[in-house]
Amino acid sequence: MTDKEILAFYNEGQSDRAFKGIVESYSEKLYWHVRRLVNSHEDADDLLQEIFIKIWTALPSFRGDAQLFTWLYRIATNETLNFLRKQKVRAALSFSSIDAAAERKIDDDPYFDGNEAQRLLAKAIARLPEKQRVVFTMRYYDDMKYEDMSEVLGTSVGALKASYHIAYGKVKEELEKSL
Amino acid sequence: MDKKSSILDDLKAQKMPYGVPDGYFDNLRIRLESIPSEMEGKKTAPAKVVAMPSLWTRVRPYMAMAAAFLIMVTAGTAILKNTSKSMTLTEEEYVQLASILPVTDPYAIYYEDYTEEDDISGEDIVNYLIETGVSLEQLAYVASYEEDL
Repeated sequence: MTDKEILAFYNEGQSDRAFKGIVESYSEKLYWHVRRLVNSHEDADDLLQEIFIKIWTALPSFRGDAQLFTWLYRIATNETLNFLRKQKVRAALSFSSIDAAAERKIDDDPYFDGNEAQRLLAKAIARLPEKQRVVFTMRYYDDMKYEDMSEVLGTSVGALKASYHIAYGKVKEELEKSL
Repeated sequence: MDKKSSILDDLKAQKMPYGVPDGYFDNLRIRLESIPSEMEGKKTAPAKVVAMPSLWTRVRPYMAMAAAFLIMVTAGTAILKNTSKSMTLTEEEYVQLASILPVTDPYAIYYEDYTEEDDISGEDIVNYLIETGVSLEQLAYVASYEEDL
């Protein structure tokens, strides 16, 4: 179902059908977006449920002044950032290393079937600060345009370019050290 | 493009390293599509009627706790009043006390202006936080927050 068809259902007051269209068209895309950020199938699965509950709850407030896909990505990204922040605080309060926990998640995830270089790349990305991680994954994996990222993250295109450049440099340096 | 940039490009071109259980996305869609009906069900579910206990039944445990606390405070004050005496220690008693006190420097109790906090510098705290797993970004964030104040 296209965004246009989904919005047509929504504008006709058929929220259920519009929501079904969103699930059909976006559940897999949003899953991969979230999965690359949290590095665990279990966490991504739990988060996706929360994200779609948020989408359903917030659907009446969707005014159509943003593109549907940026609106959905914004909800998914914010939920994921909240999740990552909570994890960070939990780690800080228990005086454990969030980086070590993230690396453990990658190593323990039974659904990660990459080679050693891909594992190192995933770990290097996991060590980035949350916002840089989001920018890096959106650009590197999804090839998202800076203009669209700007809509999703509410940050200027210039700041996003700088953020990606910094994140790219860090990941590159990590790989240089390890490979 | 340099060597390491091409490594990132090579990795990007490789098959995605993340997998999912068989049939996951079909199940996921079914699960997510049921959200509106589940939410509607929650909204319309009749509220459980629970018999309200009487005011005294609800208040009684708190009254008991308050009474117990009051008794402890009164008894403690009375015992302290009857048993306390002036704590003027001889040098010999100081030495005995120093050997059992769990402080880093037992003889520090001789110094009148001694406080344990004097020994902890900002650098010590930062080192401790780094050793216990707080990342440099978190520390930098706290530092920048303090600068903003």
